[in-house]
Amino acid sequence: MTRKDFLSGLAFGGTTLALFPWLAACTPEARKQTAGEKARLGIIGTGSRGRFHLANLLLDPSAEVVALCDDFEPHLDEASAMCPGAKRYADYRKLLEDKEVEGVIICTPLSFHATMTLDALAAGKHVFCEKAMAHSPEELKSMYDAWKAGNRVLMVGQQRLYDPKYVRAMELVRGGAIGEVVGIRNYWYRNNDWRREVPSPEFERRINWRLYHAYSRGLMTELACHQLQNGSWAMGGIQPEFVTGTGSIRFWKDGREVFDNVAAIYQYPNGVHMTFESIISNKHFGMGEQILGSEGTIDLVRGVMYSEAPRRRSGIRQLLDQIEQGVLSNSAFAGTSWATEEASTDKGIRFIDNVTVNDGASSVGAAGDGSVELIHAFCQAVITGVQPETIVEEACWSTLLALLGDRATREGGRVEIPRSLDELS
Amino acid sequence: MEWIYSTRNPDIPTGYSRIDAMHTRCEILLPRMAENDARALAEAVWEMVRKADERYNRFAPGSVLSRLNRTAGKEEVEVDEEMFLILELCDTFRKATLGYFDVSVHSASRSGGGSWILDPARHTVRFPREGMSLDLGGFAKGFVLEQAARAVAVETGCAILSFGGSSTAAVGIHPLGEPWPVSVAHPYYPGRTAHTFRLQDGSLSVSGKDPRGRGHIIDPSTGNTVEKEGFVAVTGPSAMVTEVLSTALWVAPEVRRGEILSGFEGYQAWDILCLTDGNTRIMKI
Repeated sequence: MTRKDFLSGLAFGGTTLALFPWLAACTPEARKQTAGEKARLGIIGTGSRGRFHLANLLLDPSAEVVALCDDFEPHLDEASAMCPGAKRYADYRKLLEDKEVEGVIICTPLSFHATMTLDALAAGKHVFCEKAMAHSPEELKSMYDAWKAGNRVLMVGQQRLYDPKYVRAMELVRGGAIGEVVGIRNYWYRNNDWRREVPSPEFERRINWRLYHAYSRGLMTELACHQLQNGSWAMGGIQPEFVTGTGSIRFWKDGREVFDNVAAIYQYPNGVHMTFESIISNKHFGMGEQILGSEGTIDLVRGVMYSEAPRRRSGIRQLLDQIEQGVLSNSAFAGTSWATEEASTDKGIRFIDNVTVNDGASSVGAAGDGSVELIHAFCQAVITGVQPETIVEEACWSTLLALLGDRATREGGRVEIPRSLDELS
Repeated sequence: MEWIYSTRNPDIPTGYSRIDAMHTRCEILLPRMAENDARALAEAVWEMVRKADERYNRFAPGSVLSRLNRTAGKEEVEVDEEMFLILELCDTFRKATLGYFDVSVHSASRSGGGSWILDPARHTVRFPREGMSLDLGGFAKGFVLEQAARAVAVETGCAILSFGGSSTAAVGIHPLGEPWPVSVAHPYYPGRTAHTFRLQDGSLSVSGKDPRGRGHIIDPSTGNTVEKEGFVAVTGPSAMVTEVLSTALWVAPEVRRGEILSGFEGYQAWDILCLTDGNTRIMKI
C-alpha cells in the first residue's frame, strides 16, 4: 500500500470508513464533488506553523488564501512574501469581518485559540484551529458547545488522523491483529531548549510563548496532545478514568515556567495504562508511540507490527498434528519464500510502504505526517460545508487528556477524567 | 534430516521429514506408509534435493551452475544431460512467458539481450555475451519438486511436499478423503488464512512480496525489483510450471497476464491482495 494508493482512495473500503468516518472526504467521489472549487481562506498567525500550512495550501488546488493576519510584522511580511495577493491584517477581528474569507486557519499561541475560534464561529467562518484546542478545560467546553450549537465546520490540527500509517495501524488494532490492547506507550525526546530567536527582550513571551504558563501548557499541550490521541483511537473511543503525573525543570533553567521533563500515566476503565514521557535534554530515543497487544505490538512511528507469538509450526507440520487428531481443516502454509530459519527476534512486518519516520525533532511539522491531507480535508469541508464526522470529539478528548495530564504533573496526585465531553465544566 | 513417525492416529500412521536446503525449509508428509518405507522414501527425496542444491546454487563456487556462469560467456561449455534439459526448458519458458520469466535476469551485463546458444548434438552451451549469468534458484526448486513428487507418486498415492511454503506439490488426496487443503496465510493476522486451495495430484506456487521486506523478484523488462503488494498463486499439474508461471505473472503487467496464461493448458492463477483491515481481495487472472 503506497501513499499514493491511499490518498487516491483505492484502498478505502467500507470497513475503513466505518472505523474512521472523517476520511469520507478523502474518497475519489468526494474529491470529484469539489473539483474545480476553491475554499477562500484566511490564516490567523503566520509564525512557523502558519507558514507551514500556507506552503501546503499554495500547492492545493482547492485552496485560495485570501487573507493573512499577524500582529508581529516580521512574520506577516514573511507570509506575504509567499502569498503576495492576500490581504494583510494586524487584527484578527478585522479579518473576520472580511466577507471574502469563508474559513480561517488559527495558528496562534494556545491561549488565543478559544477566543479566536469562538469569534470566528460567531462571525460565520469555518474554523481550522491548531492543536491543542484550548488552554483550559473551561475554554475547551466553551469551544465544543459553540461548535455544537452552530452549523460551521470545526477542525483541529490532529494530523495523525489523516496519516495513512496511523490509519492502517488502527485498522490492524481494531481488526484484532495484536490481540487485546494491554498498554500504550508514548514518548517524545528532544535535546534543544525549545526557544526561538527573539529580536529584542520585549518579544520574549510573544515569540517563546510555549515556555510560559499564560500562553501554553508546555510539553503536555504541544507534544503529548498528538500522542494521547493514539490512546483514544486504539481503545475505540473509550477514555481513561484518571491520570497521575509529575514533572520538573531539570536542565533548561533559563527562566521558563513550563517543565522540561514530564511523565504522565493514564488509566483506562479496563486497567490499561497509557504513558507519556517527554524530556527535552536528551534525544537518544527520539519519538515513540507503541500499541502493546496480547499478541503483538504496533510501532506507530515506524509503521511496523511485531508478533508476540512464538515461532509457529509450519503448515505441513500442522497437517501432521491434524492427521494425528483425525481432523481435516485448513492449513495456512503457502506464501512467498521464507528464510531457512526464521529469526529468533521478530523483525516485524511493515504495514505500509514508503513510510516516513518522524523523529519528532521538528517543532513546525514533518513531511508525510498527515498535515497535507488534513488541511486539504479542511478545504473540502469549507467548500461543502460538511463537518467531518467525529473529528471534533477526537480533538476535544486529546486536548482534554493533555490539559488534565498537565494538571496532574503540576499538582501531583490523581486527576479524574470526565466520562463524557458534556460533563466538562 | 528431521524425522517423525507418528502413530498417534493408529488408522493413519504418518511419516514427516524436514531438511533445510535450497535456501528454504523442505518438508514432506507421508501418511499410511510403513515407517521404514516412508523413511527410505524421504531420504531418497532429500538426496535429490541436496544434489540439485549442490548443482544449481549460483553462490557455491564449485557448483555446476557457477562453472557455467564463469565460462560460457567466453567459450562453449559442455554440460550434462540434466543441465542441458534445464537450459532448454528455461529458454522455452522465457519465450512462452513473453520474457517475464528469465533466469538470466541477475546478469551483471544486461546489454545485448539474446538467449544462450544450445548445441543439442554436442550438448554444449554458449552465452551470447560475457557478463551473462544464470540464476536457477526458483526454477530448480520447481524442477526438483516435480521430480520428487513423481518419485513419491511411484511409491505411494498419498503425500504432500512443500518447499518453503512458496511451492507445494500434492500426491493424491488427504488421508481423510478430500483434496489437500493448502491455505495462503494472511501476512498481517497470525493464524488467519487469506485463501485456501484444494490440491489433488497437483501443485501450488506463490510468488509476490512479503510485507516483511523488500521485493526480491526482478522484472526482466526493467531490471528493477517488483515492489507492488500482494501475491500471485498458480495451481496446475506440474510444480515446475506453476513455479515459472507464478514468477512470470507476478512480474508481468496486468494486460499481458491473460496472454501468458493462455499458453499453459490446465493452469489457473489468482491475484491475491491481503489488506490491513483483515480482508483479502482475490481476482482470478
